[in-house]
Amino acid sequence: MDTNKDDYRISFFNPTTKSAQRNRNLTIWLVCVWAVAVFGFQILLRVIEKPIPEKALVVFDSVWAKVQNQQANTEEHQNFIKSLMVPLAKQYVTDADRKVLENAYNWSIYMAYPDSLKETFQGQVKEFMDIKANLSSLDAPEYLNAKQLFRTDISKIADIGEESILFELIPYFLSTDMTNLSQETNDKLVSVMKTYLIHNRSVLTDTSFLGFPFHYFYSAIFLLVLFVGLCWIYCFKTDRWEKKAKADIA
Amino acid sequence: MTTKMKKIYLLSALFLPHLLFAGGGVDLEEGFKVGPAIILITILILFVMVGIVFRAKDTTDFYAAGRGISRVGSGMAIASNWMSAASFLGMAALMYGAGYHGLAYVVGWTGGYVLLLILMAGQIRKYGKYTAADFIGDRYYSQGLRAVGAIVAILISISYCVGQFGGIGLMFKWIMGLDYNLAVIIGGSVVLIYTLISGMLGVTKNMQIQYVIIIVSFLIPLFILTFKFDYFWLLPQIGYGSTVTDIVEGVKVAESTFANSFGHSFAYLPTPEYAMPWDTGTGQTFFQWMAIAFSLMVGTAGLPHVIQRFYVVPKSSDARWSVVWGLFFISILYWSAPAYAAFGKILSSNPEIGKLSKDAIVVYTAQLGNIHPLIVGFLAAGGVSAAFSTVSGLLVAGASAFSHDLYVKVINPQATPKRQLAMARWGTVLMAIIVSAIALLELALIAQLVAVAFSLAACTIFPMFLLGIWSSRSNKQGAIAGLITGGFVSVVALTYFIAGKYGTTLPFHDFMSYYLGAWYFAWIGAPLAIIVNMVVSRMTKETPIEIRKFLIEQVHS
Repeated sequence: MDTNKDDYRISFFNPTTKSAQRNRNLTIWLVCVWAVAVFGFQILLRVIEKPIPEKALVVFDSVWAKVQNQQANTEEHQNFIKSLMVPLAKQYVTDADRKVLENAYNWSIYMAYPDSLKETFQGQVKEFMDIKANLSSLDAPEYLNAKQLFRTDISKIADIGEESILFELIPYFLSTDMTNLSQETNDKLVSVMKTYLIHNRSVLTDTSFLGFPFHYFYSAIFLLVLFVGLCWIYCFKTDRWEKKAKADIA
Repeated sequence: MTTKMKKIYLLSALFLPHLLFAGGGVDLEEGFKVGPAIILITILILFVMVGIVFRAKDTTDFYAAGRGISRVGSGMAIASNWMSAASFLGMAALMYGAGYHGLAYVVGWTGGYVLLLILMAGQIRKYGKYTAADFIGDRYYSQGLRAVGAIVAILISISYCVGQFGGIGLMFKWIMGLDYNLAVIIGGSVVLIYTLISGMLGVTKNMQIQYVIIIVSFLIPLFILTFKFDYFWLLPQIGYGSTVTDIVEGVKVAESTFANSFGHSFAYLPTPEYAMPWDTGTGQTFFQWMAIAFSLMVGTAGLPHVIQRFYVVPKSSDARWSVVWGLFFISILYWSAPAYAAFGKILSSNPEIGKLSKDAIVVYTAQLGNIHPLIVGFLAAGGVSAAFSTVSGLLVAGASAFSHDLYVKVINPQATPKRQLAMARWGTVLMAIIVSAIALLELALIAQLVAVAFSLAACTIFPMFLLGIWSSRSNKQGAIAGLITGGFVSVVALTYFIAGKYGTTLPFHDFMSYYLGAWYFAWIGAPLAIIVNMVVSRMTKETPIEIRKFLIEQVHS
């Protein structure tokens, strides 16, 4: 701020009085701290991050080609089913991607059933879909029984223990789209899996602070504390200068 | 139902909480909820009573509450005015739906206060005008700019209000079991009546009460949730950190000893995408994070109803300290909102729950966490209060722009104060009708709708205030050129947004929709408007000496 009384011009960057210079310096200092703290940290996060795959993606990558060519052994097929359940359980999955994942999941279970039981399984799933469509209560016995039936059967096929969260989730991804691995699934499955199972991580995301991942704590908690602090510093300093100026005048 | 039966039902409802939620524990949405409805009605009556007791007696009262509010009181009013449905409901919704990306809104909606304080607050108070358009008209010595400023202020208020009406509609829907459209109309009518009765003096007093209700209603369920799920409950804003880590790393069935109200266990598959930055799984990018944070911060310093709050404090130092207090009070809510998202994430993780309305996740989280229905009702009423406090301030700001800046200063300078007040009230009614109509379209999430207002303010009002205060070189021609630039960027961004919503594909649609997103187009619009303002000002006639003199002697003295 310039307080040149001769021509009455104000310019933040060219102050002429001592108080104006002081105010400009404080403002620039606070804005710099503010900008570096907010944007500088995010840029740092961006620079040092690395794409890290979840374990499920590593497993998927190791078996997908064999499963696609129907050359996978039982264990590889089981791993394939389990790897698909991880993105399926995620809430962020879009409807289009969910369709791809569900086709792969249901097809892989269908293929794992013995030929003699494939038709029965298909019928059971269709019946389950009907029950779900007309469900009045989550406690309905036929719904609970159907879920338990699938958990028992499919957990054996996919080698999922009862202690695993996957065991609980088995029935929720079932659909009747199971007899073929669609062309869309063949084309998109790898990219869909990568979309949901690769995450940007770094030392800042993997370090824990007060229970938080550090970067999360920094943005959600610390920055707000800093903002209040910066505002307090500005008010405190400005008040002090104003008081001093008044005392000088007096 | 006979009167006696009604009495028995009401008494039972008070003592038997399970009766308060019609439809049983598994129903999150449907049915009229007696307890929450009683709490909501009680709070609304309280607001109206306070509004009546402290009602506006003349135009000075209506616009600026007689300039008799203390620093802390003004800080509470700033916080209450600020903590809208977007903060109360929308913030958790964004975190729930997009994880770390949602923190761009937390940071953006708080960091902007630093800019507002160090660049503007004290100077705005010293300038001594009632409204943003008043400042623009006087500083840029142009009745035309005053009128455009008033129109922009009205547009910003409308855009901001749309999200609030959406929030009011959602909460009225949840409490009363009404259809969303009907809930928006009823809720909108109530807030309109309340604003008309009270004006800003009542609004300011109410804002202090509303702040207490908002923050208490928001924090109580959070303490209970952190206690219930065995996190550090004494300070839930820190305690939920372990919840975030649990979401990232997963909770095994064997480690889970809790269940939600559906009986689903607290077990959880690892979900790093919730906390990891700009995760592809959330569909959000680094650029969007930065653009949103920047746009919201700059927009904060350009919102007419926020700027207007500085006129209601006695001195410029009070204006400054009211920002500190206001930001601290705001931060209490913003430190807490992500906790709801984190709890909501785990409690709704079972696919059986299905897709929940993100904007109501705060209330759903409390329900899924088996919180007492009366407390959930209080929480929902707090959400309504948050929307009410902001809407009333916005309606007053919009009505002020309509009546004071457009009608009195441009159309009819001879208007009597009585006529002026009547115009303010008609302006309020008109705005409420327009806002309700747009809110019924459900164009986006609450917080995203509100973010549009921020970008709009950042592209139009912020450059004029920033340069108007800090550069005497900035003149009428520069302001007009800057406004046209910022306005053009805004119109282009909003055109692509609306076209996309209605399935129309415009040229370069993907490119434009990404780089000029409706909630962050100010990342480019605001700097462009500032640069154009400065360049054109340097090329044209200097600001008149009496304005430069006023700036030095009054604003920067």
